[in-house]
Amino acid sequence: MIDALWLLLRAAGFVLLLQATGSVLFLAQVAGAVDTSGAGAIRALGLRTTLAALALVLAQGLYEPLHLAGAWDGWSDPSLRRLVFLSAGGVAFWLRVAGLAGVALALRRAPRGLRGLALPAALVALASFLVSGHTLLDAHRVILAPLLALHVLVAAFWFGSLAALRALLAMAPVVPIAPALAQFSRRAVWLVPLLALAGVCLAGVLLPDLAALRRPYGELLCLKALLFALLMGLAALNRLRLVPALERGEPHAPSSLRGTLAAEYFLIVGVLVATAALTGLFSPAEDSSA
Amino acid sequence: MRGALAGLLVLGSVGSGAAFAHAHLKDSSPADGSRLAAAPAALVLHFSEAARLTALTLEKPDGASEKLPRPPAAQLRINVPLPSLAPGAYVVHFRALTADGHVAPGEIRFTVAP
Repeated sequence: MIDALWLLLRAAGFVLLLQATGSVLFLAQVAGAVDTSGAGAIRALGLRTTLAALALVLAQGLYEPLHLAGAWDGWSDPSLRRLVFLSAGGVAFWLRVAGLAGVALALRRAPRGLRGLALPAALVALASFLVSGHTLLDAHRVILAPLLALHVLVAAFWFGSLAALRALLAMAPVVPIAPALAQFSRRAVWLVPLLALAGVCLAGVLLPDLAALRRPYGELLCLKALLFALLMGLAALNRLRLVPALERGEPHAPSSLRGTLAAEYFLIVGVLVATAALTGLFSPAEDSSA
Repeated sequence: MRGALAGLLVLGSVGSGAAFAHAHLKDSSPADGSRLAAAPAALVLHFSEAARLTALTLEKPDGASEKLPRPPAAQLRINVPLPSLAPGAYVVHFRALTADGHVAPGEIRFTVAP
């Protein structure tokens, strides 16, 4: 029960952290294609997500001593509290707190403030993925760190963009959506393949052999690949059919596009849940009992 | 996006390099599944890399649990004194924090013969 709750918090934390930082990356990349009211709606959505992410990260920190102890009285052990908040292991936690707090502050302010603080703060939060986990310890860290950075950055951009585009679609036709979609497509068409390439390279370096694909870590990795393939199918449908239909002004296009964007969103949630499990419970080189 | 990636790499490189490694239990005394003629005086856990115990309890034959003292730092070989054990079946439950942040749970079952 304690471990199941911990995993739930971890997975939800991944979802909210990537959506919050992704909304900032979306605004940074697509700002020129979104009018003032659209940008305001995305900032409001980003702020709500960021505050939820911050609350969840804090909850994760408070819960971690229970997970370390494997018992509900774990919080009463001061050595475990120190381990969570004050040791080297706490770096990722404080990076997330500081980064998300910075994003929240920036999104509460005018666009000028956003430009100044939101992007660096989002990067601070995302950098937390680079200071813990398998990549930190692997002998090939010099190769893995840039790959993981690219992987996380593009994943956040893609995930945050889906929620932002749905918010914009809800405001159409009052707010023009086509320029933002076109701008997002121009970015995504080369970023998403990079995301896949970085993921394949990470797996290639981290997995000791092909037999590892039959162990829990490898099986979850295969699940991620399957979900990614489905995502690519939906992305192709959007790019080749629904976005052109929207640009032609076909009446059904906005609702169809909202539907496929929602499907993409939930497929990525599935990918993130699988990622939370594979990075939190298993090691690339060993099975769970190791 | 290229600038963001560069920024992320710089920020990531600032993080902790201090680390234990991904550790697993190599062997123990008493060994898992062992049947002992006499009660052991100590528990020895030997990990593949230095690990920090975050939980260590002894489950007794009557089902009661007793917390055992944990070393305050990561160690490769952890030696913990055991209380006086009566004949019966025991289970040691432990959790070890590894360098990559994993919490690896484990247990060792042994029996003290009458």
